[in-house]
Amino acid sequence: MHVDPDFKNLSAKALQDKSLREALDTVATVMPLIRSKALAQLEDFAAARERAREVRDEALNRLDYYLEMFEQNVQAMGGHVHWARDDQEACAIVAQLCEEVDAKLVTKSKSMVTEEIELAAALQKRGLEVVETDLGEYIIQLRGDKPSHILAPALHVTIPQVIDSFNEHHKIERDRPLEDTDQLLAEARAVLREKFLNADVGITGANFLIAETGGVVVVTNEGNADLTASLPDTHIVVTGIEKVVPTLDDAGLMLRLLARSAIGQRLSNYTSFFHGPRRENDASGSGAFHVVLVDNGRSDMLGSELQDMLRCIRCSACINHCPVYTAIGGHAYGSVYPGPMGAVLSPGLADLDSARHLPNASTFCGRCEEVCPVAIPIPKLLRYWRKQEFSRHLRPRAERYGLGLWAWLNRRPVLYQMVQRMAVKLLRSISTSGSDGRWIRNLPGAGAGWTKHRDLIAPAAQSFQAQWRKRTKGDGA
Amino acid sequence: MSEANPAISKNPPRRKRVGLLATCLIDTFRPKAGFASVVLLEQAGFSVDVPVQGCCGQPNFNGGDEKGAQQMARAVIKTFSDFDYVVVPSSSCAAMIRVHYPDLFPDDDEVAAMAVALAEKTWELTSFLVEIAKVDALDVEMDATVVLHDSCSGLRELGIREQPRALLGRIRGLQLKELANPEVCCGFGGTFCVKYPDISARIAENKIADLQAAGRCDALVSTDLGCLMHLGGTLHREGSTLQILHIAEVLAGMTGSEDSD
Amino acid sequence: MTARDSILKKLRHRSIAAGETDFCYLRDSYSELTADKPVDRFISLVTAEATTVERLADLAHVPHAVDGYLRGQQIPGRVVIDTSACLSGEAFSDTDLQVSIPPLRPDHDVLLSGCYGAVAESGALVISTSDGHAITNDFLAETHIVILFANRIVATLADLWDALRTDTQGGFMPREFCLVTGPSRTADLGVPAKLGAHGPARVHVLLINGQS
Repeated sequence: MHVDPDFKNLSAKALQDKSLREALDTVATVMPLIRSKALAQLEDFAAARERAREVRDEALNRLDYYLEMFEQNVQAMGGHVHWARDDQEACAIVAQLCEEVDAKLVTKSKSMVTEEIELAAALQKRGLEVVETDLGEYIIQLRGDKPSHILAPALHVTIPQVIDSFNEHHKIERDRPLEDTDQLLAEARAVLREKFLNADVGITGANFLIAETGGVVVVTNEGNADLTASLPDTHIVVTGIEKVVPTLDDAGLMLRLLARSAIGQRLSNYTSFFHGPRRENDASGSGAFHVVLVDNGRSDMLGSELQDMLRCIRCSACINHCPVYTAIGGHAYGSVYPGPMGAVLSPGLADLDSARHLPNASTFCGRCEEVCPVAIPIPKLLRYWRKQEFSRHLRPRAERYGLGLWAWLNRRPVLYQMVQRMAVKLLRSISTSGSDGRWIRNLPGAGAGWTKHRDLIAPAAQSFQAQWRKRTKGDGA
Repeated sequence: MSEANPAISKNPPRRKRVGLLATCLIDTFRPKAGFASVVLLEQAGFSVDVPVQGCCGQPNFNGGDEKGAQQMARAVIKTFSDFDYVVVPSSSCAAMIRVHYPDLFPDDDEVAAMAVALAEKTWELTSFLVEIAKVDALDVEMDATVVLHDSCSGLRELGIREQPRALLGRIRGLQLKELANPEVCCGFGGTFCVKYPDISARIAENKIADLQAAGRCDALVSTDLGCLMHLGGTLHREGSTLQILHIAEVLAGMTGSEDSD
Repeated sequence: MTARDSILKKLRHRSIAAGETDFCYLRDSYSELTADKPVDRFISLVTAEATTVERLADLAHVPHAVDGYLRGQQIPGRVVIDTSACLSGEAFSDTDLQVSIPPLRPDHDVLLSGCYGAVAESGALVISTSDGHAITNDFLAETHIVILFANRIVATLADLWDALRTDTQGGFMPREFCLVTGPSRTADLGVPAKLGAHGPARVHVLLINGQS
């Protein structure tokens, strides 16, 4: 997986983008509201969340056991299970399966794993036509763009831009120009319908794998996953290894929390359970059913301080509630996984050096952890990455020395107070006093980060501790 | 011969001793908030001392410098081990001790035990006043409308939400306005605000818009000076005349400008 | 070593380190609670999700109900009937409807089907391949009319799993089953969400009071 390390420029650009800001402001105001309304429907969200955490932890602690159970059940139903250690292996497996059926056209429903392993590009290189069927992903694909949110990938694209893309890429005779969203929808529906019906292979992700039954759960609001899975004669599921839950009951609990946390709904419009290929009495469905289990760094996170991150069910609640994400949007993170969950996952699945800004661009406000339906301690995990960066010298030297100096000084109070007095004198000398107090408008060097957008109140002439010593010195016991 | 009157001959019970961890920001930028904290604690019947002290280690902890954080924590643990309570006029510093010190020494059981002991008796100021000191009356009058800014570490690490409001409610003449989105961060985040100043400023902008939507106010109040300096500094840059007050100053009735330096 | 062996080896390290577990396989007990009867709950939730419901005494009333619905919606009376509807063409002989068997065609995109049942807590219809239902058509139709028997509405998801386990009697789950809450929708072209993204723009439930 690749992460674009240019966070500084990407985020600066994002902050200038007015239409992006509008879209993100909507996310920041609407999503928390609909989530809390939906969770209020449950009598005891805290208890449900605790059980959900338990279910995910159980699966992660005995992942081999549950994956083998899942595999056995899939095979018993006539399906095939493949294992891929990394992105290249996974792409090779899928490409091979497509080649075996002489596929020309592949439809895809949304799957973050397939983005992570860059599957579409790998298949296109081999001459296959790959069509994203989730409308947001389809728009991104037409534009050669990257997703900016794990559930709403085209969040940053405006309607005029969609119209332009449809005009550019759809070779259609229209009796009037595209103007409104109803027309766009009708056109997308027609164009994609044709692809659905003619596809040789359909590739979906999986929201959950059910060990008990060998089932694959895929949720959408559009219904495109079902058309992707059932119309072509080959259905390939590409999924991370961590998606398994023990039983149908566990899946039900997770789904109840997933839809509410993600989009404020009781369930997604289409919550589909796939069990193997078409059977004798089935009137529909694919003849070949394949599941590709992708590791790509996940097994390394197991048993490490990062294991809790594997509980993630990709609901995006953390993303929607993050003050940093809702300020800069997904592209700034340079990763298919943005926001708080992305800041933890990306260094693990890609590399810390490329992703080094992500764990740092956080205020540790803790909202992410608070809204996570499986109680992932995201700030703690971000802090883990910061520890790694510090010890591997991935932070700027000035920062490392600054922290070292701070620790050194603070263990020597007399020296600290001396340095403090000098610094205070200096700061007060560049301050200006007025009826509204004593303020500093401009700081050089490291301080420029403060005064770029705000003034600094000047420090007190004498520190609290110094004043306290003075006041209490004369007091007898 | 009658027995000595037990009520007279008995020594009065010793006042509990509070060690005030003033915090680096208050020490350097806002001594008045430190003195206000002392006033409040003494009024509540505690004897207060401010031992010579250093930083709690939070910047290093959050910056990934585990060793530096441990060194600073050891010093704080040593300095404050003898008090009955440790009170901190800052949620984020209090949380550092209460929430994070216990896990800071996985390889040193002895210090870990001392860290746990310190954590259990460390309190943010308003939660101490309400939950331990059980302060239910403040002889303070303040004819003003204020907005309370909730600190994220207060809300999410220490469960501080009702306590400052309960205390502010005891002030005669004080009107408290609520923000529409009090759960949302102000953008300070410690060193975040200087490492990512543009993002920090955007988050502050949203917070300030929320503040303006609350209507006319005289002052912005918070338990945390970091948030106040960040928001206050931004407001000042924009020409705002909104008064910026630490909650200790408000509760102790020390909001006049004659108290500042 | 194969990829499978290599991955499982790493995973086994973790499960060995994790040791004995006290995890219990529990029946899901975190449903949304309600005082309503399942059928009432189902109706109130499903009608809030752009789905219409008509209550009928028995299956024999279906053809006229379909006719009436399509006239009301001003949709041409051409209906494709799935096996799961358990109705033959003759049943429609005293209506003006033109009925046919699957597949759907461009001007024959009204689908009448049965369903496995429904889950009240979620306001979801359950469609399944188990009753010979060619459920792929349910995602292609423009208008989907679903026959649901009231006694097939279960209260919670946990009840649904129990029903499926009983019906499949320890064998395999149906090849595909899907919980459907309302018409197909998308928010990718803005809010409020638009209906009929790929699947039906209209879902109409004929709720039969009798037994299935």
